[in-house]
Amino acid sequence: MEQLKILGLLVIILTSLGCPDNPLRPDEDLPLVEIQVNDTEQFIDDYVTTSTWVACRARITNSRAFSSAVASTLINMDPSVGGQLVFSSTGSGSGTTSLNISLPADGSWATFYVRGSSNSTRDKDAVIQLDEDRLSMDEAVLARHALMVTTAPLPVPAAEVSLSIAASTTTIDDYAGWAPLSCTVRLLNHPSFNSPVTARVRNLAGTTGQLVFAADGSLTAHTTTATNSFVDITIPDDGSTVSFYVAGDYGSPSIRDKDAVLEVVELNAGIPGTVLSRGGMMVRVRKNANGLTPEERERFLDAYAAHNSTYDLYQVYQDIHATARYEAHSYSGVSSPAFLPWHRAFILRLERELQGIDPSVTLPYWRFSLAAPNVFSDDFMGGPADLTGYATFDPTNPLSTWSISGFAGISRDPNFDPVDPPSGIASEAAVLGLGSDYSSFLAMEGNPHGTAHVQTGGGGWLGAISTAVRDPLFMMLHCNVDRLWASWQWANDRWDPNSTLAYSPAGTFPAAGATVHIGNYLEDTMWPWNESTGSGGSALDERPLTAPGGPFPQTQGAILAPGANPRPFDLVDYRSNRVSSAVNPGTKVSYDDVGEF
Amino acid sequence: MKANSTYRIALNGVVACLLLFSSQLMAQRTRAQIQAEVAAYQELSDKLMRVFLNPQAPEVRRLAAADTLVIVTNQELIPRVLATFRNTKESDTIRSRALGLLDPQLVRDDRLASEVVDLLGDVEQSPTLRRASMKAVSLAAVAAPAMIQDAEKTFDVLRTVAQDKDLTIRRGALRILCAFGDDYAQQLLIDGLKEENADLLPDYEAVNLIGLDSHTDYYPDLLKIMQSTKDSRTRLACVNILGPYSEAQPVILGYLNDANADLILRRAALVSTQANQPASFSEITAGLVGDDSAPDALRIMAIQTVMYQRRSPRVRPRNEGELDQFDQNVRSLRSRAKSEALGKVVEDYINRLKIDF
Repeated sequence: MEQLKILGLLVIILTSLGCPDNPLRPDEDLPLVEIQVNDTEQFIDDYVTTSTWVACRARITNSRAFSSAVASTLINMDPSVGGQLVFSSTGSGSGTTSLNISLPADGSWATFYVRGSSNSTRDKDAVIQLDEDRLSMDEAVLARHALMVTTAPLPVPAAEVSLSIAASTTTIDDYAGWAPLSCTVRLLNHPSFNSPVTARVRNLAGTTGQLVFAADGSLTAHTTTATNSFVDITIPDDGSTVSFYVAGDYGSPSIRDKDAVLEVVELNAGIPGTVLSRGGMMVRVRKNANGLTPEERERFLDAYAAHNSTYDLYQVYQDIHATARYEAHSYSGVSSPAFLPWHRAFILRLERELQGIDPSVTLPYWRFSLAAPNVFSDDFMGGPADLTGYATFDPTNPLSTWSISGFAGISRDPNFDPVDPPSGIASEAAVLGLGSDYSSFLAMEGNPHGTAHVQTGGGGWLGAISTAVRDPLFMMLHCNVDRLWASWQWANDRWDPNSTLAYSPAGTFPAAGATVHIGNYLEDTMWPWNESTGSGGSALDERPLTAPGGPFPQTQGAILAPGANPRPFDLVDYRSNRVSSAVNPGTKVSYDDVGEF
Repeated sequence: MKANSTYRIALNGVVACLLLFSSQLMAQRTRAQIQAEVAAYQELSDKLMRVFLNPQAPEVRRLAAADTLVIVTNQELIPRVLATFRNTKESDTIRSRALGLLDPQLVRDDRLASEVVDLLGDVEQSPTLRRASMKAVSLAAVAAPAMIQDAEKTFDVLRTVAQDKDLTIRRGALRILCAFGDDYAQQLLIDGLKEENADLLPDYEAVNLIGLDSHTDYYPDLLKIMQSTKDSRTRLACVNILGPYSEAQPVILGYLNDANADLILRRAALVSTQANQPASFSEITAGLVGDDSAPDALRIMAIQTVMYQRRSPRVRPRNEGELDQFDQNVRSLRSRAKSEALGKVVEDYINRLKIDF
């Protein structure tokens, strides 16, 4: 047993040291990039003006994975919001809004220059975005580094500190939900100090996404998260790091990337004084689709359209869902307990790929028990059906040219008006009241899940398993199914997968006496991510003939959840990777109205 | 009737208050609030269930209670609801409503599933009960597929009722069968499309259903229908599904380029063309994009399509010498786009593809 534990620990360490895959191309390594403004590790000098070029540099931090330079392009994250930048390779001339740079394979720096073209309205609202630009690759976002265009930069303090969000120098993992994320601070010019520096970490005033904090060592793995409005830290004078935890403040998510800013402020006799550092990040959670801002909606639609039309990645979801049988849905007399964890993994995989295109995007949920007129509109998921039962779109909506498997448009003819909820859908209170044990709650597969499909699909795609995924609304529908499960887990404290109240059946598929299909037991790996195939028959130990799509793409961060071959065990507690005994952010999924712990 | 609506309004009011309360606090709702909402609902639900299960209560009250309940949450009451469904002394309306309350049970109760299929196939039963059964079987298509896939009996019944006199039942059966790619149902619909006055469903709807899992064998017939039909809806439905058929592609392209065709047909033709001829789409639509007399909707959709196709570095033009006619036509629109929407998509194209040389 002890050997098994050691082996497990070794696996975790080895996987943590590896490179996360490119979510758009899971078999390719994704460069993890560090960007420095003013050629320094500290953020306190990340200010530029509209008149002077500032030297910057970027490098690959996981350079072992690359044999040749990585072509990439610098652009503004959003040309319509916040301070704007221009780039130059020489630090002269008028600059351009995009600049190609080549990141050396050996991890050495690539240099470039930036200056402002229009001023910021707050700190960290000007964002350098670095896109993958190799001719053989797709356009994944590699880094987003936030700074400010201003004539009044903060003074550089005596204590020069580096701040690492998610305990890494890359910015691609600077996203928090309600679960705790580890951060570190280090004194860069520590030889100049002969005593530690005390500091407070808090929110920058006036920001949208709000953060909460906890001291290192104050949290317990799997059961707690940060809750304090600030945390005081002592930065060692020997150059070592001090850790703390940060999480999104429940009820105050971000609207856009880098609109949550944590600042480290020096404490003098307990009184906050000089700002030592500010770092931009995002409180990224899944939200009600009906309440998205136009900007959030536009980003989601753009990523969704690119996922299907540019990268041709959506088809495999249709192939998987149409092939899945006993792994994903209940059968007469043979229930499928994995219905919920399987679909949790299914939509998470899509979300990860969307985040490869735009890291600020999450999958919104369609709260089908309430009216959602903003969802069923021609500038979002499609207005009322046309005369032939197809959803209608404004021509500027990226979904207006949606197609899959050669079929044009979206066959969807809801049995309800966009200003009303579908009829016959069980209310959320009713669903959450189905019972406090997992097997009772699983009855929600029929209603509201099945009813939402039937009422929305009409004679269209959502009305049958074989065609449902063709409609992009499928993912939002299932995001709400998943949210209901998360709400039920929260209300009943059903996070521990080892409890049969949270999930059953336990263990692995037995050699004899099985009651449900393989893949449904707590510790079975789930098809298709385990790439296991069979005859496609109905025997309990059979798998489908094919396993499209490959293993589950990995997260961008040190803690990998749910792993390449997820089991129901790995999905029950989405907030925390239960394989690890450390405090960690799990799958990094959170819902705007479902708290943690 | 009046009592029914008064009771329903009162009950809906209670539920609406609960929902309003929860939605107002949605962003910051707490675990305790959810627990309180569930407890309140369960209390209400138990009261309503007692009304529904009471054969002595007025039917209008019982139906109103069922409307509010939607599903059975108290597991202990499921046997009694099942008994109500099975009780032939109850009215068909009450039995139907009992079946509706059992939606979640359908996926886990073989006997119930079998009874539902039997009811559907029994033409002697009342339309009310049979329609409720049809609804339940429709639910199985997304929540309990083996009830259909692994049960030949279900398929047999569905095939039988695919020509039922009752349109609701006929439509429901054909929808399910076609979603599962059933040859019999698809052939039935094709035959209906070819023979006037023999239609099981409106023609456009039949085409849509064949398209759920269409076999290439049906493409030639559908092409003939697309070209010969006088019904614009049927033609549109054919365009949506015939794109993969090479023989149909020139005809669909003709619709796209026909300045006299309805815009809705031209839009569908454009989407079908991009879905099935992606490699040549930019070449096909370069002229349309440069044509100021073409509808902006089509130009916007064409530009947007090619923008997404070319966004990846794998296919994006790299320098001036690699710009094709489509790129050049889009760039020339920068100075003359008349609508804001067209101007915006042109800018997006140029910026996204980084061709602002």
